[in-house]
Amino acid sequence: MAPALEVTELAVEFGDGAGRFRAVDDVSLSVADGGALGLVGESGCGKSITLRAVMGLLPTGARVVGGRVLAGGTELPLAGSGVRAARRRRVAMVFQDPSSGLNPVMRVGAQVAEAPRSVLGLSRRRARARALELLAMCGVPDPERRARAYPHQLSGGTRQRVMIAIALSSDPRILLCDEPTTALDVTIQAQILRLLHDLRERMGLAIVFVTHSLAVVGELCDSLAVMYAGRIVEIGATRQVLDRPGHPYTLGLLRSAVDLDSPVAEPVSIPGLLHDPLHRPSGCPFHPRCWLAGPECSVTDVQLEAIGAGRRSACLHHERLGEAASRG
Amino acid sequence: MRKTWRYAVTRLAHSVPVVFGVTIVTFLLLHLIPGDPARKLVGPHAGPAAVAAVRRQLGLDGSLVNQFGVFLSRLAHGDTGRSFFYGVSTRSLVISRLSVTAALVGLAALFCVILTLPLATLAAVHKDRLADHAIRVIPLVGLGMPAFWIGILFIIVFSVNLGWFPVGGWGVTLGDHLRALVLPALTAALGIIPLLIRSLRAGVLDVLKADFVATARAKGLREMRVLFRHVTRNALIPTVALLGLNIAYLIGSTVIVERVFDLNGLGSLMLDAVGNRDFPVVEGVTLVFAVAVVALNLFTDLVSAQLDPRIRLG
Amino acid sequence: MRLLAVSGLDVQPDVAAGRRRPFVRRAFSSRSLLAGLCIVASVTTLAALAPVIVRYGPNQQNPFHGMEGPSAAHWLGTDELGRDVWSRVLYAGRTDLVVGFLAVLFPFGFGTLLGIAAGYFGGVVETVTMRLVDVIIAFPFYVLVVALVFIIGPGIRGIYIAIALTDWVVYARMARTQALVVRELDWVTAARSGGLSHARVLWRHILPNTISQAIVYVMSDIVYVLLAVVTLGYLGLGIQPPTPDWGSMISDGQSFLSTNLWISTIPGIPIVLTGLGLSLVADGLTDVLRPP
Repeated sequence: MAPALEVTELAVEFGDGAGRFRAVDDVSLSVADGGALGLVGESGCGKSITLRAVMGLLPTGARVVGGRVLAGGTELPLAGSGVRAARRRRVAMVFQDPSSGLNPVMRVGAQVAEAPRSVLGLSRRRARARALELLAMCGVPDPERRARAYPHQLSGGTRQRVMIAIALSSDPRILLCDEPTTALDVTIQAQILRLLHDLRERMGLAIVFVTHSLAVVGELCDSLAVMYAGRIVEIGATRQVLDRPGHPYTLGLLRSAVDLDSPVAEPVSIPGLLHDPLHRPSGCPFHPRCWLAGPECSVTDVQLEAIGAGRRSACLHHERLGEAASRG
Repeated sequence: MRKTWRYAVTRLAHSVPVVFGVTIVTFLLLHLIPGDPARKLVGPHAGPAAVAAVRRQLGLDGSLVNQFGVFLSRLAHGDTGRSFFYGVSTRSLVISRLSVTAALVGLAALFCVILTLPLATLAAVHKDRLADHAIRVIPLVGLGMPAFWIGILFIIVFSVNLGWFPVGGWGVTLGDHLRALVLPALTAALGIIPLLIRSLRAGVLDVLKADFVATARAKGLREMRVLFRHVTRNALIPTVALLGLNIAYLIGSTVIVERVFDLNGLGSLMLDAVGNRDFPVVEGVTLVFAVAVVALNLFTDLVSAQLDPRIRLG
Repeated sequence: MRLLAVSGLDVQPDVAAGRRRPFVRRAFSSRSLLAGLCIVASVTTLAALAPVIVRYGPNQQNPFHGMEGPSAAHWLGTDELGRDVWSRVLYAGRTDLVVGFLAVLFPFGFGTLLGIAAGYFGGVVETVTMRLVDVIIAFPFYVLVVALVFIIGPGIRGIYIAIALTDWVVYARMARTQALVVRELDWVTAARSGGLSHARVLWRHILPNTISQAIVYVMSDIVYVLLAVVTLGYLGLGIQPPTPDWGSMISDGQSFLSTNLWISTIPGIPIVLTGLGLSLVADGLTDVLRPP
């Protein structure tokens, strides 16, 4: 059976002439029905752009220069006039900032009812009923009253639930989440994650979850893809990737996280900075910051290679990571 | 509902000191006249009795504070003085001319909205393409165009050459009145439309970049619906606010526009009074204009609150 | 291993990308600024050179050649009294442009300083200033200006005084808002607690940051003031004859619209050109002075 979402060799470019660079370079991933893929990386690594390309919502100045996207086996156009129509009832997106993602002059209930009415063609009464249903499903307390409120009258957590309800309102099979918990308090974060987990179980949704927080990914996703400088550098089952990373960057991310279970371990940040997108290092893009780097790392254009069952990594020295991880 | 009332009352309360300040300034205008104001107003040839009469009529005897008190009490009774030239009360003159100016301002405001909104939205949606560049020429060139010159150009093209509208005057029937108002209202509107287009275009650009527009698009809505239901409604808010800020200028431009098109409104009353050295009328009309501005600002504040729930519901 | 939060993950913001290009070089890269300056320079040069380039005096009447169209002798034709329009247009520019440029100086200076004081010191100064601003703004510009001209008397003096009394309010509001923001900035509070006097803080820190916005606004304001000068001329309340003035020229020609429309239309062109030039300068300056 075809995966719910399959992305093959996606590439997105920005700028022109001397200022041209690839924000997303040769990205491939797939999610099964009911599966959840976490897409992790620093700011600027291209994870959000990847989502937006899949959604057909690239900002001006960005263009898709390669790759295919299939939803449930059907190809989705990545540019041109049919972009939005093709995604109706297939893909939906939850955005990062609920305080700016909702229309400030429209009542919340109307915003949730809008897609059922205009896109799914429900009557006004049934669209309203559906909106209340969705709000309740997303855990919004007292949905009738909340539906009449305006966004600024609701708390951050409730707003994000509304955003999720809006995403669900167009009846999708795939839910793309662009850092939906980043702007929220930690306790609310946990609630939203639980909500997404429940929705996934109940509705069989496929989820792609973009975040820069490994902690969040561990809670929700069964597979994990790590991005660096527009490329996927490691991909595999979440538990495996987190327990035994196959790429030095992933290990770096783990080390720079605060670990509550082992208070003596202090976070260690990754040395150096992400390179200027216009001046990509030769060979492996991570090598200037990598302690494992050898001379071959600066000349070989390293590709994702299988390193175990269902795991891939783009590192020439991934075996040496086993020792490094166990050392702490 | 109660919160909306509270907002309205707050705005009203803020207007009161401004109106008070306006009366003080208007009162002081008279006293800015160098030398003896009564003598200046009456002219060098009048005898001392006439000067004394004027001084009494204007309430110039007594201390400054005293005079202000008299001024205020007269105002409270709706008495804004008596015209030197026409001999009737200023109030009756104002009332007879009010409808013309009110209609002019109303039609001009309407032109502002129906011309600015589509042009600014079009420019923003087609940013940096031909339509945008063409529309952006309007603020560049338009801001430097004197209103009276635009009016004259309109007269040349539409009245003298094409004969669609009268050269001036008010006409007799309602139809005449409307036809007589079109060019003057358009002229007055063009005084601020360039400014409105420039600001609103920036406002619409901001809205287009907003996340909730992406949300709307992600829902799968057709672009037209996104534009109308989401973009325009939000862009209308700064438009109205901007219109409110500029309504004073719009009202003031009636002084010029009524002269160009020979309309009998408050603006030309003001100019005639200036020409006739008719101080009470100048003072009275100035006061009426200022109070009208405060009232209209209050009105646009309330309209803004109606459009933007964040304002009225805190 | 429970992961709670991740630090050191986000990219550090770019270290300040070196020094900005010097002002002059940036100024030259703005097309609007250059175009605007060219236009303004051309108009002012023509006006300045008027006595040298025209053949006839602005008030030289020639009743037998009245109301003539453009010709070799009279490039823009003659008006109803036979005066050369080209000459009058240029001479009118000498007066109108000078008054327009000079009249903004007082509002700019006074308004900005008062606004800064209001924003920086707050309290009574701010309340009184802002109430005064609210009251003056309530009067429609032309109504107040006409009333003032009525009281003081028409002519150049009346124009200067009327503009001085009414135009400063926008600068005051702008400067106060800016001063409020700058006052709260960390390095300003640091300077104050370090013992710097009010005067020094105002001069070295608040003023430079407030003034760039005002300077951009001055460009548009000159246009408004020029329009006011010309409008008052049209209404007969401005620059008095026999001194030529664009506004009064347009007014004179209004009686002849059906026969000779150029008398009224031509003087508007230099006004529009100056306005266009100054608007371009204002746009260009906004880009150039924008903080990095």
